[in-house]
Amino acid sequence: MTATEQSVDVLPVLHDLSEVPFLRQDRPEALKRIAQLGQALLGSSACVLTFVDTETRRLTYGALAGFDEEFEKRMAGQSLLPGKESDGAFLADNVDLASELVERYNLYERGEGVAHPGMARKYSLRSLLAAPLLSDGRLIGCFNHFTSRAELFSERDKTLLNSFARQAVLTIERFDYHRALERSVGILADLSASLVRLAPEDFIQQLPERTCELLSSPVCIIWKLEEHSGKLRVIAATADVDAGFRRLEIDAFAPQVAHLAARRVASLGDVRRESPHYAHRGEAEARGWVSLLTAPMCVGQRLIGMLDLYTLEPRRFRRWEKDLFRTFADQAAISIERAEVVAPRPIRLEITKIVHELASPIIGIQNNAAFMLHNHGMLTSEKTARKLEDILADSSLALAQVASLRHLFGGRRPASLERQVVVMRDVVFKSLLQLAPAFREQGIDFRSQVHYDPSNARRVVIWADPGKINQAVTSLLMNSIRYCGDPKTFELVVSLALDHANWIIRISDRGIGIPAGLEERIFEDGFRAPEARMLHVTGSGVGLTIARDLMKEMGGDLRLSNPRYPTSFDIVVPRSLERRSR
Amino acid sequence: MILFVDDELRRMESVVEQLEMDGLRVHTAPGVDQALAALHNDKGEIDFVILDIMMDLGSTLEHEDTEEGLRTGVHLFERIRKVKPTVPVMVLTNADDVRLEEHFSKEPRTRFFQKRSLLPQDVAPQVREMMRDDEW
Repeated sequence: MTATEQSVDVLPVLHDLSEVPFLRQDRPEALKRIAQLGQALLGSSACVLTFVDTETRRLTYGALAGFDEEFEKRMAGQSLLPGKESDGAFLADNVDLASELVERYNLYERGEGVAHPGMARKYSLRSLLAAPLLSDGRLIGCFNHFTSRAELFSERDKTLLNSFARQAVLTIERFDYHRALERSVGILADLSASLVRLAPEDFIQQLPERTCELLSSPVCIIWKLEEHSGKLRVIAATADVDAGFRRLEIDAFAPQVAHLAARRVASLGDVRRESPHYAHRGEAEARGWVSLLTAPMCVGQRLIGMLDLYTLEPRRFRRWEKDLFRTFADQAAISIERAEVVAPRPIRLEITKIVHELASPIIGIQNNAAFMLHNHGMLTSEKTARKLEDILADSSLALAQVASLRHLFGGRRPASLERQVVVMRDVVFKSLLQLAPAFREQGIDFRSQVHYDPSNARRVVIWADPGKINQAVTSLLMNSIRYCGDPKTFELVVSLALDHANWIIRISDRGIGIPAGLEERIFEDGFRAPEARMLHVTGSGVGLTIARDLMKEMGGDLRLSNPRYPTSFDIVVPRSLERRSR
Repeated sequence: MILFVDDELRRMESVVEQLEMDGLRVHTAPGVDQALAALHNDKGEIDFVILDIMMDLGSTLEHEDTEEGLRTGVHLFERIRKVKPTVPVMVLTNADDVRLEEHFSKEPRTRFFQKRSLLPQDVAPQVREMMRDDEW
């Protein structure tokens, strides 16, 4: 990704760190690691770390992740902020300078998804998260997270956000008065399947240790929120968390979750004695720890959990730190106010959409069949052929939606058909023909704007499940149709070519293209491009995921070879499946 | 003339053709904007509306909360009523939502049907019955 290729769904992190002990020893490398961690942790496509030199009070670039090498070289060690004596001016300058910086380097060309207060103000973005970040009991910076799509939050997300805001306010009230007896900081992290799916398993297992390092915390527990049951389960934890605790299962959205957690921990007896720094609300409450940080965590634009951070030793904060805290609390409160007005929409909406997508072609089949039966003997052969064509197209689309529904509920795919002899050019042609009515419906002339000549394509015969190839091709073609842009200028080319060890079915179209920065995300489960929402394109966002999985099951792959103008996808079929003539 | 508003006209083509074979005139509109344009330009010809619910918002309803298109037809219905307060409206939808049925059952000169329950040949008789019915 280049620095200028940020886009609507990109959620960068602007992150200000200072006075982190281990950074003093190995600053460049550590900062780089934290930038990468911040990027991965928040599912962000870019992360910028800034560093406040406490002596000169200058803000400098520490490290970047997700930007191109040239940009990183240009920014390395640059000083960003001239020091000011007044604390208030310091903060104001910080925001203004960040604005200026982003504008000067044209970081976020499209102006959305930018994450610092200055740009957010300019583009009227909504803050969903402004989380204080502390180290060693001291505020060292913040995670900011802005979006213009607050409507993506569900009722359940809002309930959680409300809880965060209340805690943030309590934090502000308390930290001025509390006197420490001992220092104790812990983290409870709750991650949903979204992040787990994005990150490789070994990364998740390393995450607790790395998070502890990042926040100078002795303990970190990573939870997974299971969407279907609403249960929280431990999926990774630092080494001193014992097996009993790892087996905990908590109802994440029960009103009394803190007390439940406390009871469960208490019932484990020795756990507490052995590991005195467990940090969850129930435990913290029982021990009188003060919450310094309860930070919502988001992946994509969905709230997936939180980081909690407690201490018994909240040191006196400086004025500018308090200002920052108050800003965070205010922003959290504003977030809640705004989140209140958004419509509930989690999985229920996705199911409604898929059911609609499934019912529509079935209604089409029903209407055409009833019409043919009712007018039997009265229809011309052309009319009959057209109705049958429509029935065939709708059958294919209904089957694709059945696969989406099965996928959404986590069901297993049916066993593969027995492998058959498949003539690749024919299976591609069949998929195209099946969708001829869908092209026509969109105003695309199938004959002049869709280019595929099976008679020119080489006759490649493979042993495979034709249904899988058909579904992958159908899924790509449906996307081409949905995102065709102006149908008059639309063109689609399908080709079959040999590339070393693979046969490649390439589907290229002159549609609206894949927005910059989303090239990988389009394959994510349930991801829908912002354009899909803006253009009100129906769909559930699982088609590409399923198609890629199907191809991988065959030993092949599905890749985006060019994001736009033309948008090209390659269906990779390994030559090992080829059936050679004897 | 029937104004037939549906964004999936290909799938409703048989219904439209059957209505025409049954002697009714039909003007099709594949979305909100086209439907409103047809109503505004109407010179008294449109005397019946068949209305889908789950549709694109179009530029007219762009800023309204239609739950991502799931309730577009509800908003369009209100606009239709402003232009033609007494025109009979047949709501014909895939939306399987009891709240929608309740909502439209309170509206005068309006009936709610699931697409799955009306075959193409069943639509014309329903339309004629609704047009005849003066008790509304």
